[in-house]
Amino acid sequence: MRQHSVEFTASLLKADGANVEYSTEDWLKSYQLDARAHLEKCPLPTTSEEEWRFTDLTGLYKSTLTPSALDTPIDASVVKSFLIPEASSAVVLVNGVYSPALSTLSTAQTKIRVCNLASALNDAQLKVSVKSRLNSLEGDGVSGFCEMNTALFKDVVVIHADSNGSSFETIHVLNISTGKHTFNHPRLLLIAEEQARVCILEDYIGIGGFGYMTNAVSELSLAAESQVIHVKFQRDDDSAYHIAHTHVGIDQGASYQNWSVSVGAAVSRHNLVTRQREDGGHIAIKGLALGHDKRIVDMHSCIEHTKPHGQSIQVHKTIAGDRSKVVFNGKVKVHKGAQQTNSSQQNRNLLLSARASVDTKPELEIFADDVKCAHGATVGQVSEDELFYLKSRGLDDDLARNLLNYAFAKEVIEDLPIKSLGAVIESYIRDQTKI
Amino acid sequence: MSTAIDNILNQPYKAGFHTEIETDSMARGLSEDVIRTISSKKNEPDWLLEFRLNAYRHWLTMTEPKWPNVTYPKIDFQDIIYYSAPKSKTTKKSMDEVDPELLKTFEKLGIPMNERAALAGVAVDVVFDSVSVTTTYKEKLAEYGIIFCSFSEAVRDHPDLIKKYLGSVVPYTDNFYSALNSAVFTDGSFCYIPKGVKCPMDLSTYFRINTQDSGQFERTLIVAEEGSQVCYLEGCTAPQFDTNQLHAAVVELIALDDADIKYSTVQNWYAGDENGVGGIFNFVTKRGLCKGKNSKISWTQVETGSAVTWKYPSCVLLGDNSVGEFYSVALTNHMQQADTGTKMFHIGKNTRSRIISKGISAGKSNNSYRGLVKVSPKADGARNYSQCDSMLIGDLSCANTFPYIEVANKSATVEHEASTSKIGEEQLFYFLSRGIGSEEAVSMIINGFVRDVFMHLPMEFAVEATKLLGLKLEGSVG
Repeated sequence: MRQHSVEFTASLLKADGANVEYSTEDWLKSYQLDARAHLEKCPLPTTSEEEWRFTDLTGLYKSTLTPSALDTPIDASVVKSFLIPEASSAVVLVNGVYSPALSTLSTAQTKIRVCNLASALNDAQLKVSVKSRLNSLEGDGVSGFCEMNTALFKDVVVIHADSNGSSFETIHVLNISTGKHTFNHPRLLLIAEEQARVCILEDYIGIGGFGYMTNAVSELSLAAESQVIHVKFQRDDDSAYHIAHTHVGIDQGASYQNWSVSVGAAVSRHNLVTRQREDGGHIAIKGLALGHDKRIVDMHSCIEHTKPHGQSIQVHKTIAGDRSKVVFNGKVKVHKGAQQTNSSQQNRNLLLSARASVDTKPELEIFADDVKCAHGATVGQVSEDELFYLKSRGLDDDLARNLLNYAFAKEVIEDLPIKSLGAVIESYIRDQTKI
Repeated sequence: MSTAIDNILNQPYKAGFHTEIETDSMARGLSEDVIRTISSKKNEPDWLLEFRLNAYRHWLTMTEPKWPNVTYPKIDFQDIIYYSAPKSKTTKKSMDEVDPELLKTFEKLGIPMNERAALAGVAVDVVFDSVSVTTTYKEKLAEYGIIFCSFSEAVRDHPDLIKKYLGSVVPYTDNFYSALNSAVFTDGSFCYIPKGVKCPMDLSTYFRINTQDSGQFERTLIVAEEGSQVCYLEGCTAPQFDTNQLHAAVVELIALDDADIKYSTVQNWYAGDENGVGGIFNFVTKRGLCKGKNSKISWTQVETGSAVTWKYPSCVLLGDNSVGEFYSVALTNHMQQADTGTKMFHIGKNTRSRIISKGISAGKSNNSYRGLVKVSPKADGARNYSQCDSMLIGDLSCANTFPYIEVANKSATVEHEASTSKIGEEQLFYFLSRGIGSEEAVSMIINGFVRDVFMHLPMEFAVEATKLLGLKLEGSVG
């Protein structure tokens, strides 16, 4: 197993080695070379590591992937059909590279600036911010995939939300994969200044792609009193491998709301880490994962309360049908001195089929005494009483079950602030939970 | 509030005396020769020696588990005395022949060994260092066909039963410490309840480590035949030494159709002093097999001692409709570390399990619950309910929960709940305003917290456990 991982890691580094253009910025170049050197010593994780026990990537490691082509033509009207009307700007990345032709950036003078890495580094002020925040990954939830991304990313989408934002502007970041058995490494950096407000939709789709790997890293930095809404919607091709790491740093009194919805890919894994950097802060995470066909869908979240007065609330729901496998690992860590932390976590799993399975582990690690922490996890099936109720009102068995599955999932996305997206997700729920 | 709780916490370890008794100890170290010597000292048959040697050879290929959430200095397995026994003449017929020094020791510990004075009505098997010293009420139990004796005697008198069941629940390949135990175990208890018999009294084993630097490796095997019932108690103490001692026991329970085994433990090994010097490393493998239909195994444990605890009493629910239960109170204080919990394997249809775990961490201790509920694809209608609550006393201790839930059957229902809390100022104020002192209030709150578990302990044990908890926590709150 380890052998496959070693070979795969080496092949990826080698395959892309020829056309890596190291940044002219020394600090960035050293990040990329360090990550590469580290990967050569420690390859990508396997099931022998506790954090990856339930996510078997042998299939990925045994496949041969090549770098994505950089100039794939895409029909603009197809792309358009995926864009949401609420967004003021749409940033489109094709195989991890910013596509100016397909993107539509708002021209209005607003508090939000969206650009790629090159333009960000041309702006002296923005450059300072980017330099201090890019590659700030640390602690739990970091894996070899983060380093792979750092070593090989082709571009970075930089979203800068200036201080004192008055309303939530929505930015759609659409990641398109087009290759057959290729890999790409999208990277996103969001910087929210003091009291900024922004809503971003991080969206992953495949157009014509097959068996590709998307290895995304998103870094979000929330300054004091800022408010960020972050929706991650993973609807990659059913043959794809989707690996994503999201790291969020939260300053005093900031609020971070996350929706993570996973309805695509053959194997998907999302590591979501939130870390309190100062006193206070509010974190709300809602997750929905649909296990369909032979899919493996894995969510590992880690909420780190490092300072006092932090609040977090998490709800993660999954539906496992067919021969799918659903994994959830929710860690809540209350560090020494993080008194008056209030944290709650709920994980509910619905098993639809005899061959599906659920592995869940809600973890609590508490090093402070004046805290309130609770978590709950359940695994079960549709209640017979509820089914009977619906049947007695004339619904047939299949329809009644569908309705109940749909209701179970819908709770998570009910208060999603992007309404048009809610409708899209609902259609996925209806499709993938049919009996 | 602080002084009151500090006083409760800092009570000395009352079982920490050492008894000067002539012992027959082997030199330190472990090798095939040592195992052969242990085996020949105990006049064991060849098949048992073979079992030990296989285990030893397998052990050599294994490495110590690193995943528990505990840290301790590396154990030098060549620096342990693997066999230490009180020197004695021959097999003892009655209590009068037992060394009076030894009897005094057990008197100090409050164990009712003297049959005439034993109003408690509990049959006791006492294991001192490596060897079983005495077993009471043997004849009375024999009337019912119940076999209750030391493991050595069982090997001699009932080799067929031992051969059939030894290692059938915990094979020597299971883990590092069970392999070590299988190679060097010296004694333990064996209990056999024949078909349809309800054991008329509670059975009990009392373990004590006496010699410095000796390890204790005992083995308990309980077989409950069809329709039988037994309630088994286990207690442990050790004297105070400033070196760490290793305790690596294996307990195997087998319940056949309709059988019911209830296993209760009050573990009070020496925990080391407040700076973490000395104390027992308690690395124990306990597992019960619900082999038959409608069988039931229930574990109740009160863990208060040991410097490091690493223990997961488990149930393998193989028979249809079988039931597994786990009730636990784990208390850690000062520098103690505990990583304990349970595993419930649902294999048969309509199997049910219930887990109630209460962790209390005080001082600078580290208390982790680690549990696994696994529902296999064939376990239709499996049901589990788990609840783990933690209470933190002081801001230097920590409490962790690591519950693993793995479900591969859609008709299963699994629920897990956990919460953590502390003794709040408001709660104490409430008590004080009603004229109840803070010390008493703390003790009441804690007793309320652990009540769900203590009500599953047999009467005498519940009394002992409540007292123990009070002693252990003296002076820790505030």
